[in-house]
Amino acid sequence: MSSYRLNNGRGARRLWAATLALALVLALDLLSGGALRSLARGAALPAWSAGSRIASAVSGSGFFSSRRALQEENDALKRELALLRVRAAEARVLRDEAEKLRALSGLAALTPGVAAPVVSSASGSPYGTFLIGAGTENGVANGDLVLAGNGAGGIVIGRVSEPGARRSLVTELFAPGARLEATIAGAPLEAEGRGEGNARAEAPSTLPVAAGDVVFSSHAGGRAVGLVGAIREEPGSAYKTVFIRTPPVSELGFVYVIPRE
Amino acid sequence: MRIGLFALGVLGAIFGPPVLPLIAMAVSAIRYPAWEILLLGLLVDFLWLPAFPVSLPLFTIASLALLWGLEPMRREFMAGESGLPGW
Repeated sequence: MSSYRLNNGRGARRLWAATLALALVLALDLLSGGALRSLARGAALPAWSAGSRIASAVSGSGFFSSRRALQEENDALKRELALLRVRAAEARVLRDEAEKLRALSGLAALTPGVAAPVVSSASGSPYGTFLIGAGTENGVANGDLVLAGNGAGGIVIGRVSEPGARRSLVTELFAPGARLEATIAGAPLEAEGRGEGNARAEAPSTLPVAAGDVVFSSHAGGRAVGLVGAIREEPGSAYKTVFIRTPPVSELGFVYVIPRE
Repeated sequence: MRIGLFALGVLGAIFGPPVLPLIAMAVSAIRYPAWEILLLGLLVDFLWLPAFPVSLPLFTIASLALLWGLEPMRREFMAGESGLPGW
């Protein structure tokens, strides 16, 4: 009985000590402007690259040869599909922009920016964030826009939220729970992020929206932020739900970072 | 078992979906006086949560809630279980 009490007392002291240590670490990180979390990300970076190397080594070893062939084909098709989606989206965005520019008698210029690899797992974050391999040394700054595709017709998928020297944390525009003012078919709407590049918005049922329409946002410098993927209409309802999608980060090897506008 | 759960949580935080570290934290907190789940919560937030603007570190809060919230129940039903030598 006395041993039980002793263990209980020790256990409680350890839990208190751990909790106090946690509070101390959090306070230090906050006071240092996020230096500790930057260290944690730096430490995880070799794990991410080792993970991708191990995955390629295992798939290349022939151990799962029958599965491997199917997996490779599946992966190649997924990559091709993602690429085609980006290209199709770019084409639509370019067409829309060209029409606007013709109306304004302006000229489109390729926005200067930085191409950066996605260096972290893209689906591991509960906060809709991912890491890219470019930072302040490459000219990346806080608030810069991150695009799938190039600067001319790319879709804005996120913003740089914490630039480091050689890597930066990016927060997706459609992170879970994020709200973004957007324009679909000329009508202003509020899109609610659902994570993994998906969002949804409520639109008046009379609004002429079709799958494939481009979604723009003034918060992304008036650029495209996604495409309408599907529309759900309830009979008798004054509103319809518009599902918006962007190319999933997990299928993009590289992104393009342009200065904020 | 306890070390395995911690390893699962760390791997889940780095490579897997967010639910993995959450499961590891919950199981550890139910079974052991698992102070290490604070590390798991902190790791997830440090890896994925931007420092500014300051927002709620949900996984750290979840780890605290699990650790202290489940402690009375764990002490009642699993007294003496530590899972680690000398703990």
